[in-house]
Parts: sequence; C-alpha cells; structure tokens
Amino acid sequence: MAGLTLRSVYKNYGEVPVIKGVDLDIDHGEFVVFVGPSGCGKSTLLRMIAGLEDISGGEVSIGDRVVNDVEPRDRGVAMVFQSYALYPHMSVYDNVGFGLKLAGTPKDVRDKKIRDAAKVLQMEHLLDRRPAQLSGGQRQRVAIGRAIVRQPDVFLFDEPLSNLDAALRVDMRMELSRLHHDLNATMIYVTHDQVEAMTLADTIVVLRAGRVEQAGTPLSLYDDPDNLFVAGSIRPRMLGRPLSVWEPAPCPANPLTVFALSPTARRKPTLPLTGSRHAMATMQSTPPMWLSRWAATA
Amino acid sequence: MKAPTPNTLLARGLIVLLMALTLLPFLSMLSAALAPQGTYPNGLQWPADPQWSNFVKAFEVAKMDQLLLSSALIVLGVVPIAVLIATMAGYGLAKLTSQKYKWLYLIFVFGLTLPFEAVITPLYYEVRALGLLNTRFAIILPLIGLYMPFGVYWMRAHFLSVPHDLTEAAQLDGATRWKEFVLVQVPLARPAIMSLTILLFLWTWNQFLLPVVLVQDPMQRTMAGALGAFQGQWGTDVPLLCAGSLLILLPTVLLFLIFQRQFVAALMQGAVKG
Ligand SMILES: Nc1ncnc2c1ncn2[C@@H]1O[C@H](COP(=O)(O)OP(=O)(O)OP(=O)(O)O)[C@@H](O)[C@H]1O
Ligand SMILES: [Mg+2]
Repeated sequence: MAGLTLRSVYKNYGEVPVIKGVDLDIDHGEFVVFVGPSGCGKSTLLRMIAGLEDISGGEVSIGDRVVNDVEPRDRGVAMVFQSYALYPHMSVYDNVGFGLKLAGTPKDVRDKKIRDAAKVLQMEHLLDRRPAQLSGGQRQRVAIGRAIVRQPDVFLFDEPLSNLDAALRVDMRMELSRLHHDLNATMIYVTHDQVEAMTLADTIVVLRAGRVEQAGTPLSLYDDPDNLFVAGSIRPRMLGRPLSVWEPAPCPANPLTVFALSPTARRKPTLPLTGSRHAMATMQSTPPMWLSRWAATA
Repeated sequence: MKAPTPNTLLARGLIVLLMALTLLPFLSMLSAALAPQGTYPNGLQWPADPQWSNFVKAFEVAKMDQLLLSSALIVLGVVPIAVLIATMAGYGLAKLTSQKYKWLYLIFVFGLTLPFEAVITPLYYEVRALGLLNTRFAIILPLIGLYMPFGVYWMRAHFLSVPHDLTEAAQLDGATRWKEFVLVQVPLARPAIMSLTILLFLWTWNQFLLPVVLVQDPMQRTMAGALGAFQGQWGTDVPLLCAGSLLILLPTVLLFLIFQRQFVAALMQGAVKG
C-alpha cells in the first residue's frame, strides 16, 4: 500500500525556478492525471517523484517514507517513458524481465511473470522479437509490460500514448484503465489530451507554470472550475477554442461515454448531452466488463 | 543495364591506377624476395628461378616464431586493458560527469594533440627509473597510456550518442551503475568497442618507435620493431630482408582479410564522427 505525498516541493534549474511549491496528496490506488500547457513542469514533477531529478526543496514521500535521498531503484516506482526507452539489444522477453533479473527473481518465477504480463498485454507472440522489429503500439505495450512485471507501488506515465494513432490510443487507454483496476496500484499520468485526462483520472491535477492551479475529480473540475485557466484545460470548447474531435461528453442515453471509462466513476452524469456523437467516436470495439457494469448502475 | 558514363569510367580507371600504385611496392618486394641470395635485384622483374626458400630462411634467421609470440604478448598486454579502461572512462566522462568536471575531458583532448615522438625522450627516462627498460612492460605500459586520449575520446563519443533515458530506465529497473554499465551500456557499445580494438591492435602491432628506443633485445619487441634489428643485421642481403619484411606484414594482412568488414566499419565510423 503506497500513497504519495508532496509537501511544498520546489525545483530550480540553476537560478530558474521550474516547480514553485507543489502540495499534493495521492491515495493508494488513485489514478492521477497531470495536465497543463507545455513547459509547465509536468515531466519535471514526475521525474522528481521517480528520483531522476534532484529535489531543490520540500519533501516527497512514497507510502510513509520520505524518499528525497532514496535512489530511483529503491523507490518502488516504475516509469513508462514517452520514448519507451526499451533496451535495443534485448528481446522483448528480456526487456520485460530485466528488472526481475536484477532483483534476483528465480528463473521459473520470472518466466511465469513475464508470460503473464505478455498475456495481459496481448503480446505473447512478440516475446522473441527485438524492439526494432516492433510497431510503435507494440513497443508501447512492451514498455508497459516492463513496468507491470515488477509490481511496483507507483506507476508513472509520461505522455505514453502521444506517439500512437487515434484508434490505438483508444485501445491502449482502455487497457491502461483495466490494468489500473486489476493491479490496484497508484498511477500518475501526464498527458496533453483532455479526453485522456477525463476518461482515465480519478483526480486531475491542473498545473500552470510550476504550481497546482486546481486538483479534483474530472467532474468537479468540469462542473466547477476555479478559474478560466482550469476551465480552458478541461473543456477548451467553452472558451471558443477550436472544437476538439475528442470533446468529452457524458451521455446517459449512450453508456459508452467518456466518464464511464473511469472504473471508479459512480456519479450520474449531470451535464447536457453535448457532443455525444464525438464521444461515440472515441469508443469502438466492445466495451470492457466493468463498463457494462457501470452502464447498469448509471 | 545502363552503359557507364565517361565519368564513371574515368573514376574506375583512377581507382585501378591507385590500386596498382599501392600494390606495386609490394609486388616489387616480392620479386626481390624471390631473387637468389647475394644478388642485388632491382625489384622490377620477375626472377627466372624464384627462390621460395628465402622465406624459410628469413623465418629462421629472424626467429619469426619468437617474434610472433613476442608481438602477441605485447598486443595481449596492451589492447584488452586499454580498451577496458577507455570504455569505462568514456562512459564516466559521457554519463557520470557533472557540468563542474567537464574540463577533465579536455585533458584527454589535449593528449590527442601530442605526437608520440614528442614524449619519447621523457618516456625513456621514466621507464628507466621504473627499472623496466628492456622488458616488454617498457612497451606495454606506455602504450596503454598513450592510447588513452584517443580511446577515451572514441568511447565517450559513442556513449554520448546513447539516449539518456536508457540509463534512467535501467535505474528504475533496479540497476546499480555497474549493472547498467555491464548489462546495458557495454552490449550497446559493441560496435564502438570492436572498432577501437581493431585500431589499437593495428597500432600496437605496427609500433616501431617505442620498441626500438626502449627495448634493446629484438626478441622482446614487436615484429615491426624487430625489423629494425633485422635490417641492421641483414641489411646487405636484400632478398632476405624483403622476405623478412613480407613475413612481418603477413599477420596484419591475414587479420585484415578475416575482419575486413569490421575494419571498414571502424574506419567509416571515424570518418563520420571524427
Ligand atoms: N535540464 C533543464 N535545465 C533547465 N531547464 C529545464 C531543464 N529541463 C526542463 N527545464 C525547464 O523546466 C520547465 C518544465 O519542463 P518540463 O519538461 O517539466 O515541462 P512539461 O510540462 O513536461 O512540458 P511538455 O508538456 O512540453 O512535456 C520548462 O520550462 C523547461 O524549459
Ligand atoms: Mg514533458
């Protein structure tokens, strides 16, 4: 069990302040999404949690442990990089198993875990290939597989789906959501895509220039944004920005709507039926199990 | 198929000419080596009665078997250690050095500007002070040091090109710096290590100056260095001298033929990066 706490966290690059006092409490099992404009410090914050960047001020705790001075490898976190960062000289099998091998996991246990992960991510047929022989989406899955086999307490994702085409992105989004449900781990996810934020998050954290502008459930941010900036991050349409194809819109008449994608979303949608056509477009293929369950309760 | 244009014909002609110019001295040496002993062949005509036995004789009088062994010992003493140190230092300078210590690398770059010849005299006194004069260590230890600027420069350039997020991924996977180096960085650096090994091998095998200055006994030198002594002793017997020189050349040529691809790759890499 590991929640995550950030206490007035600061980061300076030389003289330049990048993170200017961030306070956050993240519960165990929560799916948190960071959104915000480019350069606002999302990646930096994520990397500070992972231990890849020094912390200039404040405290980061994972579980009950202050990890400011703990090496990345001892923090119990796994990260999926935007660039995937797969080891080019290893097969998919070895890529996924590398962390287990380093941890000294016995070979048979390791083998089972790798194959289980491969099954979950539907990449059993790819295990013998090298990363160079995979498509972007397949690499993505390997990167996620590498993260999940070690069963970390905290998952960090830095724009993991940004290189994928729209259809694959929808698939992967569902897969991530299901993983989150199955693994019961804390996940922190960086994205530019407000549909991704709305559909995946239990909590959305809107960042602006190194500060938290507002944090809350997708619905509360949508219904009751503190200011125009937050509103603009969550529903750009309202501010006369170009209509995104992926405008999120819950629609009771059609259960395959965006809010339904969050496994913990229990609240009945209260918003007007705008853009349900677009929401339809985001969902294709068969809905996962929990989605139908949600549809029944809604 | 297209008919070759005049330009490509000209280019081909020039290449053939260049090849002929390169090969000619060797052919000339071969013809001289086959001349009867005691004669003064002009090296331009094929002897009527090729004396292949000259090679056997040269092999015996120059004690080629011992020379081969000596060269091999020196190469084995120099190349693996130099490559290992250069790889570790290159990794350290590329990945582990903070901004504050970037200047350390400049020392190595400065070393690149020093020709061997410039340091040979102080080196002589140093080796003598260490009591290593006339041993193979007099060649091995200085060579390892002298190769460092190039080796470190070479390996650092490679490690700089490895994306940093691989390092970070390995760290998050639980790797210590050592594990990351051994299990991720070194396997990825194989082509660079390979080419460095080949270059250092060639330079060591053909090392002439250091052995001649620092080691008296020809049997403790590299083959190329021993050639100096061979020349002093048999300088008047041109056929024998030529046969000996060709024999000394042979191992590198054989090695080149075996590792042709890697050689070319090594040199191309230098051309692109350097
Ligand atoms: N190594 C560094 N040195 C100096 N400044 C840096 C460094 N890395 C990042 N920054 C600065 O820190 C700020 C935050 O960067 P960060 O990468 O966290 O942004 P981001 O929110 O992830 O943006 P994006 O959405 O474009 O990925 C940027 O203004 C960036 O210029
Ligand atoms: Mg970023």
